Amino acid sequence: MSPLETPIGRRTVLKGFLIAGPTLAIAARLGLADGANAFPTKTDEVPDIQDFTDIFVATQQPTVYDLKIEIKPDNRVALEGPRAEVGQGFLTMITMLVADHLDVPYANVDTITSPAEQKRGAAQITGGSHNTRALWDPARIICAQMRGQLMAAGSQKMGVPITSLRTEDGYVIATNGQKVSYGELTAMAAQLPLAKAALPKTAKDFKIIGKGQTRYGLEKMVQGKFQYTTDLFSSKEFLPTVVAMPATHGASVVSIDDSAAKAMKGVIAVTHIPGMPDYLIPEAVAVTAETFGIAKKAKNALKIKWSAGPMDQLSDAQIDDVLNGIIDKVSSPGDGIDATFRWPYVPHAPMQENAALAKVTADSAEIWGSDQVPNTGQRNAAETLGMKVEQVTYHVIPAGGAFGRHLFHDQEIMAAQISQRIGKPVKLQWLREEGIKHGRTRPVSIHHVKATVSNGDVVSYEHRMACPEMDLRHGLGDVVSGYITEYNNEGACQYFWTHTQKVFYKTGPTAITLKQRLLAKPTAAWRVVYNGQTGTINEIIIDELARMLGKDEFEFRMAMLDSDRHRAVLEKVAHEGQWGKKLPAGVAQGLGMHEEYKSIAAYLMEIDTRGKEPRMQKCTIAVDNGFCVNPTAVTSSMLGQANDGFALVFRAGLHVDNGATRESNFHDYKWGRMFDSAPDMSVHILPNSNVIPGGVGELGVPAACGAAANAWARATGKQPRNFPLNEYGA
Amino acid sequence: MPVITFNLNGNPVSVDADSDEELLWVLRDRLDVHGLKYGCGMGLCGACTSHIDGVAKRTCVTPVGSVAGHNVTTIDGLAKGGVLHPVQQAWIDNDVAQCGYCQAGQIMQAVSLLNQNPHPTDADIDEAMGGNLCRCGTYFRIRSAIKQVAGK
Repeated sequence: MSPLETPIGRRTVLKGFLIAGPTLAIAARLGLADGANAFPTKTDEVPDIQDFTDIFVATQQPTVYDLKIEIKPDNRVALEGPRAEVGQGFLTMITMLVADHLDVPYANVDTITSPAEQKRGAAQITGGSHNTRALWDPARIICAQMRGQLMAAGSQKMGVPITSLRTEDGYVIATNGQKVSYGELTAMAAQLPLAKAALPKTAKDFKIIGKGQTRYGLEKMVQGKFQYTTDLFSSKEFLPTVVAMPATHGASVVSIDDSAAKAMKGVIAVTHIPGMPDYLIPEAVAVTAETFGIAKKAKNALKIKWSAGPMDQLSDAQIDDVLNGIIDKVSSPGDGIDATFRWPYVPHAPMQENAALAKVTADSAEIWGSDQVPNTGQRNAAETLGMKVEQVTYHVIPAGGAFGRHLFHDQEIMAAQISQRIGKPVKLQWLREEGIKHGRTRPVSIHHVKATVSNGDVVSYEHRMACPEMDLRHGLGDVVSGYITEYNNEGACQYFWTHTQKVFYKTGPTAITLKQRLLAKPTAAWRVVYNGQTGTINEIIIDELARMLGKDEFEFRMAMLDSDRHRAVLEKVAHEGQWGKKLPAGVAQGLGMHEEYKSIAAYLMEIDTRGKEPRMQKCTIAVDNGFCVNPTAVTSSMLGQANDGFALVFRAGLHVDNGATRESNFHDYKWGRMFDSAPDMSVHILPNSNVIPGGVGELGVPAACGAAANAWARATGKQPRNFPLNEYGA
Repeated sequence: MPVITFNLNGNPVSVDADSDEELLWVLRDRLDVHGLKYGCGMGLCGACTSHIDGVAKRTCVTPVGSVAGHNVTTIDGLAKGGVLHPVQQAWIDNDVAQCGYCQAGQIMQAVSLLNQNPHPTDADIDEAMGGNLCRCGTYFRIRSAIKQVAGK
């Protein structure tokens, strides 16, 4: 073994390279003018030391144990989960954890989501795929305490020593065969002094955790009885309301002629609301009517004059110019791959467009929405209403999808402002047109990547990204406040970036940097933040490096990956998906991988490019998410992310024309449909590799995007550079 | 406003509404039937899909006047006498839903497909279900659930 190959951790060859690096780099710089070539010197990425899941878990420690679990006299359990259900399966997951650790049947637990509670601090944010990881220990420990308390009560009630007791299916059971239900013991248990906790269950005792569980509320969903925000009350009580938003981003109202709208039968009010410009919540004109149908017609009859907006001079080309002006330069000398990429603005576009209810009186407010960070929403609602936080009750209702959209609370704020002004409860439903144009978005981005190759090895890797500033003011400050004292959005973005960006291949000295510029079009974190763009591009580059070096894309990855855990996932997907099988010309397989939130996924997609548009004809997925709580939910999530990947690569994207978003509904904003989903899909969950769960709510997207783009490249011989490919890939 | 009468989930109903008001909003706002959902308002996403005389229609672009005297069935009226429709049961068996918001429309569309074509091919499913968007990407399980019913 040569000194360069000494196994001193990951990137053995690179460490050797670095030892010689500083001297060589300095020498090179001394001899050259400014802007000279230099290899990046960064090696170990921050997520290897501490990733964002660790940050969530660490900052939530003071309050995350505040789980509300109540055993009712009828032996049912009432559980409040302090997160949002947005389709990711939170209610199912938390019900499973509590039912198993409390030793009660799953069906005996009634679970709802907690309203905003400021005392929870950072422990009431739904994002970053960390819910299962963060609530894993609290559920174990609190439920063990409750079982201890119930056993102490059982011991008194049955007159037997506590050591002769065990729990099962909602009963405390004695060795002599006596048993008492939790429900019969709950009152007594509440009065007893705090007992010793029972031993928390370990994996070998699990009855529910680790076994597939169907979605919480599924029976109601299939009957139309599962209630989303706008289903909660009659529209006769909470009045249907829609909003008209600015003609261009950041514009404000100059004048409103609402005479035609108000003359319509059934129109109740037209209200000018200020939004929260500091939070990029747009100024708007609201129409309240007997029905949404009437409100929509009346909205279209409004004649609103809007001011010029701050980005009226910007269309896509000018935005690209701005980004090209700020992006870090690549500087590595040498040959290899030097490529630029572009992703467009993408809205979250959940199937339920933004909606909220508000009932505001002189001295109180009650708001219903699906806020992923309700504490921030509650504080901002109080501020805009001129109330104290305690006067605002802020409910968290299951959402019809989120993908990051509900990190912000535009609709809750607007509903509150409208209700306060008209003095009546309102049911606000953004029209899809407003949502596509004004809903928050994944920002457009440009990327410059240079990977250099020497003697058949990859010896350096640079990935430079620039995008409009991503808005993280939804409460991420709470999460990182243990680390930065004053919230600064750009600082938070850079902090988030360094704790999530990582190239998990042996790419040599590697630099991944971000530059941002604030624009008026609202943005927000979008499922797989930044990595949705960078991770995909890294997978495309890895494929292109393999082909440049004359290697098979699978074999090259196996050699380049820096852990056995990664290799096991890749091997699984290649085996199950029959990597390398013969396919007709125009049809090809593509691979993609991603690691984040303590989990690893690999996708193998077959794309048929022979028709009018590319089709996904098969998709095989492998995932190692540490410890799998609910294989059914993990499977669903990974399959759904295959569809995300396909849509992002081939179809989805917005355009900006003179400060306005061009698209308006699902005819011009194109997302994946049934015919984009392969009839042949499978998910393979690897055996647990850890004792704690990793996240899967976003994990698969970059891997799926990478697989889709790489399959397309292999089928067509073209290079994926500018997305979506159906528009720009010709 | 005219009084418009039609059968809703097996019961006669009368509403006071302009005949061009969209059926979606008449049902949701005037009759408090909330199973069907708003998604786009232009017949592009299928979240509001319900049956008119047994055939799937987008209620967000259906004027209420056009259903006078007809039978309207929403997801709320699909189960009969407390027994789930086989398609609803297949949705449970396959754990189809994620957020669940589009599923009322997906189910009503699938029932309509299976009524007209009890054994659809993959291409038939692509075509019949192509107008129903799902943002969570539950398409694979929707397909499996339809095939389960078709296979019985």
